[in-house]
Amino acid sequence: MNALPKKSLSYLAAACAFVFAVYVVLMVTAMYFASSATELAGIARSKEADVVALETEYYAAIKELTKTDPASLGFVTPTEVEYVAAVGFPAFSRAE
Amino acid sequence: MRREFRLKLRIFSGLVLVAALLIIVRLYFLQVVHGEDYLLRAERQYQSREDIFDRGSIYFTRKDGTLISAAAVASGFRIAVDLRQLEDPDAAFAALEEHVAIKPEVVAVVTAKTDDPYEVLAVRVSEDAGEAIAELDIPGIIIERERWRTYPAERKAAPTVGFVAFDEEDEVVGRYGLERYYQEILLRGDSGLFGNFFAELFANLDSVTGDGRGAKEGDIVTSIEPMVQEKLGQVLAEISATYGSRSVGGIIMDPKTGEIIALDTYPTFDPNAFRESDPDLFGNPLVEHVYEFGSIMKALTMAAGLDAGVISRGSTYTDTGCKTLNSKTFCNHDLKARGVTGMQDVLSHSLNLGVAFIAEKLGHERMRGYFTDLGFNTETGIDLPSEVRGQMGNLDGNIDVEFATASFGQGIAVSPIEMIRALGALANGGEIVTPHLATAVRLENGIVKNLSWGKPERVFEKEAVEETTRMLVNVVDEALAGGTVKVPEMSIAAKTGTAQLAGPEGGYEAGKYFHSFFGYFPAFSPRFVILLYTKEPQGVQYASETLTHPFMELEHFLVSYYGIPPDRVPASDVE
Repeated sequence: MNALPKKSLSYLAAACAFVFAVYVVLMVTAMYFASSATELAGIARSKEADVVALETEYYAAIKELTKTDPASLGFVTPTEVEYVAAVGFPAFSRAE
Repeated sequence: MRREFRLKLRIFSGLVLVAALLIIVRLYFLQVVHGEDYLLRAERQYQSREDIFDRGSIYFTRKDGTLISAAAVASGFRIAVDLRQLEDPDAAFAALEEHVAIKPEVVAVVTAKTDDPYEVLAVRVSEDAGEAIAELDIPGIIIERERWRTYPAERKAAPTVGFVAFDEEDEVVGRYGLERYYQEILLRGDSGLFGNFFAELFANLDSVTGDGRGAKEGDIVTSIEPMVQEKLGQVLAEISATYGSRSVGGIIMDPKTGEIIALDTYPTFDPNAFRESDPDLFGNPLVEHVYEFGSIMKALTMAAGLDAGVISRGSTYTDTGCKTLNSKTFCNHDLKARGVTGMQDVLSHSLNLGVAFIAEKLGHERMRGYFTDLGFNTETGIDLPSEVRGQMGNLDGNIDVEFATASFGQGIAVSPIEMIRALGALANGGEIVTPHLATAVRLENGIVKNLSWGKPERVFEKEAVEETTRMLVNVVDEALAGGTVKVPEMSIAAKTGTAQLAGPEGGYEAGKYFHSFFGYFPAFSPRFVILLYTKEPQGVQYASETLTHPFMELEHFLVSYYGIPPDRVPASDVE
């Protein structure tokens, strides 16, 4: 059985160390992102409750607004309404 | 060699140290910097006895594109007690009651069980109250995180939004409406937030590299506009209050896209408290019930006659007031014979004999073809569960009187959603579209998937529809409420319908009516088509009495709210 080349063991050890280091780095990165994602999800979801409360207020507000008679707030029907036909902006043209 | 080995060992040790340091730094942040947060959570969540509820949201869309939740998940706390650890029950309950109302009967029942390790005192306790109770740090008081489905829109479109409830397998699932239809999209797996943080840290590693659930789980975005929905709900409630109807319903749809802007029925229920509501209200009559709509069908018969070329706007027929076919007699609503009558009068005075004349001209096969193309015997494909299709069996045979009665909306029954899809053809250049609620799905992975609802299908040629529209505009300008509801600067096409209601033993019941009303505007480039109906209104016979003003109120609201510009010049302004 032939002996391994002299430096093989060193190379293998270095490779092992490198692979292990990469593994550790990847694990730490994955943990970091997982924890960040969990944190962010937590923040987002805790804000959801606030948003729902605001939305409930919004619905209550539009309920009041929609059933309010404008006249009761002092608004009056205009005595005269004039409509103006929409006119497009004139295109630029080169002077002749 | 030995020196070399030492060097490698040092490098390796260094790497391990660096990795360890990174983990320690991260743990420092988790445990020290944010420690209090997690501790608070952990205290509550470790004790949670069931999975924490999560589910996608259902949104309404405001006219400016802002999304407003119609169904969401609320967060709070559940307060329980371990009586074995409770030292002074009276003092503890007194302290709790400063923050949360606990029913006296619950206290009485709970305190009787002195060795009970877990009894619930209060559920759905607010965040603030829960935090305050946690700070009291009462031994034996258990504070658990709780999340639950909430419907901020409350009664608005309740049968359409639906609600979640426990199924036979004790799972919380969508039972009605959109909640049920989009169950697979709204359903969430374990969210990973409220369990053991470190367990989730590792358990969730796969979600960092890619999570298949993110591609199918999401939120539903609908086209329902909350302000319009509110207005429609108020109008329907008002109709019910005024006429004591058995039920009232309405749909507002964009005829070009099929997007439903608002839809509702009355009476309705609050999905936040569905247990206290009548279960008969949970279904959605707009898609699950069929009705004989009566005279609004005449607009479609007229369009079919014009499209087939069997009549023109100038055509006339001899109106005898009543007519007998196959030994059955049908009449105009006022039994009057009008002699030679034009097509405009058929719609303006809602003459049954006039549309029966068109049906006769069309012939059985052609009329059956038009009604089939309008989708009266097929489901519309709307994204709501339990949709039924219309009953058009009377047109399967070749009995003249069945075709005559179908031409004025009696003898065939269709759902409100089928009816508005068909009527939408008049407001969309002769093409029918698929009515729908969801416009997009916001996936968990951040991608917004816009939904496509198929291409429109042509039923009538554009010219036939334009001619019908001109006649329907004339109905509003001159006939409806004696022309008093005409809007000088806005063309509105509309038609009323009054049908007799069939009794349980066949035949029609005297004095019981089904009123319907449809309209679209601006008539020649419509933004909205509206369908209203009311079943068994009391003390009135005709739909023109019950539904004209509610329709006009909605029209004025929509024109104002969306800032729809006038489409015609008032006659007084024309020199």
